[in-house]
Amino acid sequence: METRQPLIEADHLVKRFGDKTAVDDVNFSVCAGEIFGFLGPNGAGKTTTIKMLVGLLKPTSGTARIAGYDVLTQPIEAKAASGFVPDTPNLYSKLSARELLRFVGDLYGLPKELVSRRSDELLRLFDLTEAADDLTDSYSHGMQQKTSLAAALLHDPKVLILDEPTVGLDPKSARLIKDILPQIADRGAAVMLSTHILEIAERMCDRIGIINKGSLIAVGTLDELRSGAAAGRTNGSSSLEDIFLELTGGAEYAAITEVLK
Amino acid sequence: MSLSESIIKTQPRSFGLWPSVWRLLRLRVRIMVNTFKRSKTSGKVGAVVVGLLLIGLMVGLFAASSGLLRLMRSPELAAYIDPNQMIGAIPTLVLTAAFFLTLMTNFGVLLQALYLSHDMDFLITSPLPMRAVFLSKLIEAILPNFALFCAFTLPVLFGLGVSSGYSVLYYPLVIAVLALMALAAGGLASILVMAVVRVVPAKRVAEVLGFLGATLAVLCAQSANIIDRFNIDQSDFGGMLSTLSQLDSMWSPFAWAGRGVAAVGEAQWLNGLLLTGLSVIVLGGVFAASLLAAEQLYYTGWSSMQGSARRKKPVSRQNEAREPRFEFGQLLPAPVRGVVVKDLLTLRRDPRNYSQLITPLILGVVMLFSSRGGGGDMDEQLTGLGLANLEVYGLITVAVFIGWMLMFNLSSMSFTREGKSYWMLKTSPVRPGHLLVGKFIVSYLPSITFTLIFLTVAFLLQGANWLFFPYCALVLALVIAGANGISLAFGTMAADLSWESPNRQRLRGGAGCAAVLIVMAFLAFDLALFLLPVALWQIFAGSAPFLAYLVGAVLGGAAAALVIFLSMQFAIPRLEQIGEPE
Repeated sequence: METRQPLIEADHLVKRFGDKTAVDDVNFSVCAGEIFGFLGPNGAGKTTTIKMLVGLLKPTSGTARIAGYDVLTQPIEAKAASGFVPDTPNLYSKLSARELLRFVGDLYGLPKELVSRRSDELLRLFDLTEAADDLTDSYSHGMQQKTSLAAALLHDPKVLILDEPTVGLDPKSARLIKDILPQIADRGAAVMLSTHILEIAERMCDRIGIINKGSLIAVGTLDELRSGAAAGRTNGSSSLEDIFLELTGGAEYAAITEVLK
Repeated sequence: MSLSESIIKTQPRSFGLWPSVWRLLRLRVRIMVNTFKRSKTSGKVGAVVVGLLLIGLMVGLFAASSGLLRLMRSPELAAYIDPNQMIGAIPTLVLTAAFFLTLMTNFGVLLQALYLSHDMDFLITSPLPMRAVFLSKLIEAILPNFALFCAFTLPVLFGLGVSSGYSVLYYPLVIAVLALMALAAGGLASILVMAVVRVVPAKRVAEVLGFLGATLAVLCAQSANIIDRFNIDQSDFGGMLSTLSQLDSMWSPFAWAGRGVAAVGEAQWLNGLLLTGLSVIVLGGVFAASLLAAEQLYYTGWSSMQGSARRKKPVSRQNEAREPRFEFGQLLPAPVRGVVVKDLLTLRRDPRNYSQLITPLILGVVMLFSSRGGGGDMDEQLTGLGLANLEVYGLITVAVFIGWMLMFNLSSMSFTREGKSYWMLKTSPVRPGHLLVGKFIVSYLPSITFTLIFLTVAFLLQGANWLFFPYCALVLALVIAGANGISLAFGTMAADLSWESPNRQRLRGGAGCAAVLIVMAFLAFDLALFLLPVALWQIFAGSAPFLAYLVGAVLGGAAAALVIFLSMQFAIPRLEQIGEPE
């Protein structure tokens, strides 16, 4: 793993909104062939970090690099190498899925024939062929999410960044995503996903980063986190859930559970 | 006892119908107060000013209604209609108008409240009677329009009461009947909404309504011009009033209400109370029946099951849909082509965008016909100066104005229109120049196409000299291009992606106003550069040679090209700021 080229790099990333520091000096890298899980409570700074990596937000300081390209100074090269799936799809409601994929193909400068072939493949893969010519405003959230994923995969990106990709998906579609991501990583791409479903992170991710209140408080493999080697704070808890709650404020959750009993 | 046990063991407290309605209305009032409190100071001041203006208008209308009654009794009008018959018909006419206007305006409001506001599920699952939810939704929808109608109708009806010396009972009765009329209209509107939504999706209905509303607004705004073109004279006006007074027929429930309140005002108690009671029974019955029906239709899901199942497009149609017609698109870089095709498709598929097209076209037609009569003294003075082919100057000015109207919204809103979908463009490897060129084409192409069609039709109708057409077309193409560049730059600088409803698309800050002023100044300046050399040559040398046109084209064209270049230079660095928090 160490010899592989890092394709996603967050180097002292900081993002401030006025007085509030949303992301505070975050450092990590994701190598080719690796799936990196990005965990954290609500409002911890996951989406802000991801938005800086994909070029949606300008960092206050620090550097975000995709496939070796600085997102700020070489945005075209960095974006050409990456695919992004946001937490809320927000697709163009007056385009059909097929038209949307053709549009994305044009944005990435892909040949027409390739776009047509890849679109058909991806639409079939995500079970969207039937609805491919319907406008996306008639799609369910899950269908929109799958269309968004198809759009991100159209140009076969070296880097795939997904923000809570399984939210709103039925079990079949969620399973499909869980099956696809390792295949993409096996083909040499770097995959980074944020999720609240710890079971997904535990089963799929090679390494996990936990962010809380804007700071990356732990990074490592599950074993490293479990042994407390990564952050030096865990006390040998067994499951990722225990580690997560311990690092990010599990006592509060326990108190809530007590009240509900 | 645990929390969950205590919740289960607690006896549910049931609220009656009216306390529940009151709770729901109180919630709406709370939301309104919070919205007002948290709005900007300018918004608060604006709301207070509008309120004061409305009060002023009510007072003015009240005073004007006495004048109106005097006019009704004037001998001039008496030649066409019977004034007593007309005055007697006023309550009926006002109440009829209030009913139908409430029905029309409530359709849109109820569509929003029942299907697009997304709070119905939350309210129906709460432990409140469903009838209360519907009743409160109806009242919420009706109240703003009702208040507005009251602002216009009450001064007239009260003015009538004061000038005719009506009894005191007339005034509360008018308010009660108006309220009942609005409730009945609201009830019928809710049934109508459900019937329409059963056939057409709510979002699509809202889009069509937006288009119709905007078109109607333009037609109303231009009504004076349109009426002027139709040369309506006094006898037509008298005929219209007579037709209107026929609405006061004994068979109309509105006439029962109108005649009833007037009879009560005149102290004809038996007749008045009988007619008013009859209308109250009918209107109350309509309201109750429609409320019950709406409640049932909504709860059974009748209106959500759209009757017309979506037809599957045949394969050939699907293939056709894959290839939007954009003939010279292959000459453009792929990202530019992608942006252009995407924007043209999305613009074409949202009917609300057609209202932006309709407005300048209606104005264009009105201006074209208005200018046919010539400019009178102004024409004579200009001809005296030695200016020839004056109609061409007029036509090109009108065409530039129409072109500006067509282009401005498309161009200045080109990035705002992206809304929350902008992430797709921002995360893709599109060069800023390509993105701007794509957006430029999207706003320029439709505008210049329609403007050139307008110019051609105008030349045909005015019988203008076709020798001038190529020059006019060139002027239009370049002037509109320059203006397009400026408004696109403003659209980049002040794009606001945060809108939820397309009706709320706007530029941040005062950029919209600034853009209008600067674009207008540029249009006047560039038009002058194009036309002044020709005009001056005509004035001083008697006629304009080819050189005059060449000088005009070079000066005006250079100015347009410079403005486009500077606008793009201004816009490129601002592209990366779009979507960043302020």
